[in-house]
Amino acid sequence: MSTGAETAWQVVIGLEVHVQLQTRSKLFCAAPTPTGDPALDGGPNAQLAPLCLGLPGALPRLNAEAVRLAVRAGLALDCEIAEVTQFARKCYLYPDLPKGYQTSQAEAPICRGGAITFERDGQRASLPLERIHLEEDAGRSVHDADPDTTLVDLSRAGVPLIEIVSYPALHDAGDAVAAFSALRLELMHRGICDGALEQGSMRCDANVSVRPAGTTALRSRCEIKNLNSMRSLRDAITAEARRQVEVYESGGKVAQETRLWDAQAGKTRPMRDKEHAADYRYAPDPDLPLVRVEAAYVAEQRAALAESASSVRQRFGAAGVDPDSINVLLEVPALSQALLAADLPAPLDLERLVGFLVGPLLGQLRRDERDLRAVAGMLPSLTPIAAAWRRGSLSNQLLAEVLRRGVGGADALSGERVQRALAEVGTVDKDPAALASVVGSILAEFPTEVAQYRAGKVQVLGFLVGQAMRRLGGRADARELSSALRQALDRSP
Amino acid sequence: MNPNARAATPVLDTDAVRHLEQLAVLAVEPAERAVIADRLQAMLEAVDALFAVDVEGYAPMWHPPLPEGVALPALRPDEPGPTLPVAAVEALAHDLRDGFLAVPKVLGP
Repeated sequence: MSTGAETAWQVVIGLEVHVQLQTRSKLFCAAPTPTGDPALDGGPNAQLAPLCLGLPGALPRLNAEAVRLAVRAGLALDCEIAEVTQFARKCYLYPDLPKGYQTSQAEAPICRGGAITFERDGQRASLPLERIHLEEDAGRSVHDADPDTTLVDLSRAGVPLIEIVSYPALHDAGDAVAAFSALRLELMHRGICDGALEQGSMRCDANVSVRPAGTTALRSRCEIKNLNSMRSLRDAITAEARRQVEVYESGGKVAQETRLWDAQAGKTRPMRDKEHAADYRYAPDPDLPLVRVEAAYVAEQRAALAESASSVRQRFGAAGVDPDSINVLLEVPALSQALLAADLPAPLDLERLVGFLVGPLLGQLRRDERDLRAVAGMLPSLTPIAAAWRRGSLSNQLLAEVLRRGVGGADALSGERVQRALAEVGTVDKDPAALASVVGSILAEFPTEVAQYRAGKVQVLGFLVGQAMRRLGGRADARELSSALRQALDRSP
Repeated sequence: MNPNARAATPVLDTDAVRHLEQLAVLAVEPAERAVIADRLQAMLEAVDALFAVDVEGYAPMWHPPLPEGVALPALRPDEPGPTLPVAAVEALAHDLRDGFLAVPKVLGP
C-alpha cells in the first residue's frame, strides 16, 4: 500500500482463527456444548459442570471427539500431526474463565505447518500455517449493557476450540478475506465446524503491522480481536494499516497491543497491551496426561475425511453449474454432497437440478427462514419434482404451489409432505384440444390486445399468455401455451 | 547435600486454619479446625518427604508416568452429561442480572 507520501508502505498480515468444534460435550468435561439458542440452552449459565466453574476437586478428562476433529482439521490443511501432544495452563485472569487459566497447548500443539490455499481473481495462493492447537473457549462477556458492570454467561466456557495460527505472510486485506473464506468453507465441508460466523463459531483475529516497502524486518504488530465477518476483517485491516502508517509518518511509534474494531467509527481502538508469551506463564497441565496420536489413527482419519470444498467446487463446475449457484451450494455442505452423490432420473442432470434447487426451492426456504441443510435429507423426494419441472410437467405456477404446500411455512420438512403436495397439485394438462379451446376463447375475449399485437405491439403476448394460464389454472406448459397463442395470432383474422 | 532440602516443616495450628478459611472464603465449624489442621499438617509432611528424595540428574516430570502418553481410544467419549442446577450456580455469584453473573467492568469504553 502507499499513502501518497514519500514512503511507500507494505502491510503485513497474519491470521489467528478460533474455530468451535462440532462436539456434543465440552473439551474437558461432559457439560453439553451450548447451541447458541437461549431457549434451547436454558438461558445464561445453564450449561455448566463443576470444571467449568473451577470448583475444587474437579478434574479434566479430554474429549476424544475434539481430538479427532482437530486431527482432521490438520489433515485437511496439510499439517504435520504430532505423535505426542500435551496441554498447558495459560495464565488468564478474566471473569469469563473462573479457573484463572485457560487450558491450551504451548510447546506440543496437535498440528504444525500446513497452509490455507485460496483463490483470488482466478489466481491460486496459499497462507502458510505455523500451528493448530486445541484449547477451551472462555465464557461470553457482555460489556455494553451497563456502564460499570460486565455481564458474564459461562455456558461457553470449556467449549472445544482449535486455534489456527498463520505466519504473517499476507500483504493485502483482500487476500486475508479470501484466505479466511476458503478456510471457513474447508472446515465446513470437512465436518469440523458449522462456519456460522454470526454465532461466533469462527472468530478471526488479524495481526497487522506495516513496514517500508522493500524492507524485510517486521515492526510492532497490533492484534485486532474477534472479527467475525468478511467485511469487518477487510475493513479493520485496512483501517489499522492506515492508522499505523499515520503514526510512523508523524514521527511516532506503534505500540504492540490488542485492539478492537469499531465498525461504526470505522477505526480500531485499544483494548489492552498485547501480551507476550512470558505474560501467559505457560505451564504443563499436570492433570492432563500426554496424548499419543498413533500413525494408524491418523491414517484412519485421513481415509474418512470428507471431500474438500475446492474439490466440490471443481466437480460442480465440471458439471456445468454456474459459479453463483456453486457459491450458494457450498454454503450447505450436506446438500452439496447429497447432490454430487445423487442418482438423477432422466431428463435431469446435475446442472438442471441445481437450477431448480438454487432458484425456486431455496428461494422458498429462505423466505420461510428455514435451515437449508434440511434439503439434503429430502433430495430423493425432490428429484422427481425437479425432473417434472424440467420436463415441463409443472408450470412455474404449479411448481410454486407444490413448494408452498410441500416445503413452505413452519411445518416440519419431509419427503412425504413434498410427495403429497405434488399429488394434490397435479401436473400440466397436455391435452392439445383443451389448449386450443382456451386460446380461442382468449382471442375472442381480448380483441383490443389482439389488434395491438397484430399491429406490431408483440409484448402484448405476455399479457395474453398470463390470461390463458390463469384460465387453465396454471396447468399448462408456458412455452407450449405461448407458442399456441402466437400461432393463432399470426394467422389471418 | 540435597539441593531440594529446605527449612523445617511449618506447624499448622487452628489459627492458621482460621486464616486459610478467610483467604478461601470458607465457612468451617470451629470444632473441625483441629481435624483440618492435623490433615493439612500430614500433607505438608508428605510433601517434605518428597522433597527429601535426591532427584539429582532427573528431568522434571509434570505428568503421571506414561512416557508415551494415553492413546486416543482411552479418552472420554463425547457424551453430554448432567449440568449443575442454575440455582446452585447463581448461589455462588456475588451479583446477578437477568441470569448473567455481574462483575466489575473489565474493559474500558
